[in-house]
Amino acid sequence: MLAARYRVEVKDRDGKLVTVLEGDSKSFTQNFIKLLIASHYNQNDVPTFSVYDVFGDSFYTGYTRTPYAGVPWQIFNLDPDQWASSTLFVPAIWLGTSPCANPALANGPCGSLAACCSTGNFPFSPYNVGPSALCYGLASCSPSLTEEGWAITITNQWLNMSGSPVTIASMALVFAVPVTSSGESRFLAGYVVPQSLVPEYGPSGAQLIAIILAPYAAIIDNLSTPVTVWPGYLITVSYTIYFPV
Amino acid sequence: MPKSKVGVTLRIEVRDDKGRVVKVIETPSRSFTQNFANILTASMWSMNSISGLKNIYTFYDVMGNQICVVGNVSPPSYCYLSLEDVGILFYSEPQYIASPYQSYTIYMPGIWPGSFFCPEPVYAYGPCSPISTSILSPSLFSFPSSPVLTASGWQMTYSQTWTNVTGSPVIVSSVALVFGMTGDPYTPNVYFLYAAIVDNVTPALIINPGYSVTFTYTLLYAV
Repeated sequence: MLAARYRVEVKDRDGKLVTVLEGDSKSFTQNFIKLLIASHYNQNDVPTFSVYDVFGDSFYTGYTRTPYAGVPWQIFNLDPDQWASSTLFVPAIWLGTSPCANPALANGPCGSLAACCSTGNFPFSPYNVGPSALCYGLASCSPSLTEEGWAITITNQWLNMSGSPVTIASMALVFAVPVTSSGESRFLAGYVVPQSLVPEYGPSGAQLIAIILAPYAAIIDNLSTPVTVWPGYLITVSYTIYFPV
Repeated sequence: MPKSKVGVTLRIEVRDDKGRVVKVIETPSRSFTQNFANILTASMWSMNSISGLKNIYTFYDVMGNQICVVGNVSPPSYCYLSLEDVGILFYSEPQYIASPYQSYTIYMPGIWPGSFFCPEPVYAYGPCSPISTSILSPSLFSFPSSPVLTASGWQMTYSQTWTNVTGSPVIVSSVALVFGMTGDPYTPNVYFLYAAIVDNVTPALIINPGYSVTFTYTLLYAV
């Protein structure tokens, strides 16, 4: 978790590699650090931090302001099935058309979002993401012990389905964290909130709880050189996170 | 390893019975454990995907119990306990001592001392031969409370002091950064203690009666 490295590959329509970029990741984000810190606490003591999702909408740790993440749990969630239950978002590496002025303080990739979703008005569509691919084509199924330490690689492939070239200048590793948008917290009642993404009734049965997944950027980087992805070209982006051993 | 100036350092400070610093060691930490890596990887997936992908993630708690994260299928017989998924990885201030640890040598998250070196810290479940709290008495575990941005990145500091309350010297040869982790279907009060980092202390420390030792882990996240 302490150090990361990014890699970007662009292939043309014939599958020929036309661009490769690699670099040391620069920026774990402030939003990630806030969620990480809050996840150390118990439900009666968790600090209130404002956190921003990729779109700049705020939510809060703790329980005093809504929408709230409470004691944040599953802060590394990138499960496409779970995301698909409530959103059109696709984990986990999103792309932007401009560099970020200060990636550590940004909320997501900068400029226009080029890759984020399975549908909608975005130029890139996910490629080879699904249950037929090993670990959904997104991530290492298991950590690897390398000479550099434990390594976990997270990968996305995006296909330019638009009719125009798109320039990519920033990328973000996007996880999702469950956020309660209204009602009471089952944490306060001593429950662990289950893996539900549909509105639920609280323990009293009286209040509606809407648990949603808020996509947030844990790491954001500007590419050392912006890359242009032509129509029909495939861009493969990955982060490898290292833990020293 | 990426060239970023990031990593983990372990600082050890020994004080005598008058509070004077008598020894300081500062060293890069070596070993995130396999248990941590497995728990983190499991935490990326929901229970449906864990079972759908037929992944079983296993780890060992500080007592060496094998715990499996299996999704919503039946766990294999070799699992001591099983979870459907992983919820929280860094639980540091539980309000209750979880039942498996109520009579264990040390029973709360913190930076635990051990009296033996670990042959392979990366595969250790905790410090080797944890030292009882009736021998080294712990202070409260200090963990990060707000983001701290330094020139080297986001800094996360963990610290704990242990005082020799016996009449004999105590040898410390290994330390471990221990967190609680939770997951469905258990409540937050049911957590499992695991070692995220284990390090040997070389040379071993001798803590005399009345002396205290403070272990501080500083983690830097690249910016």
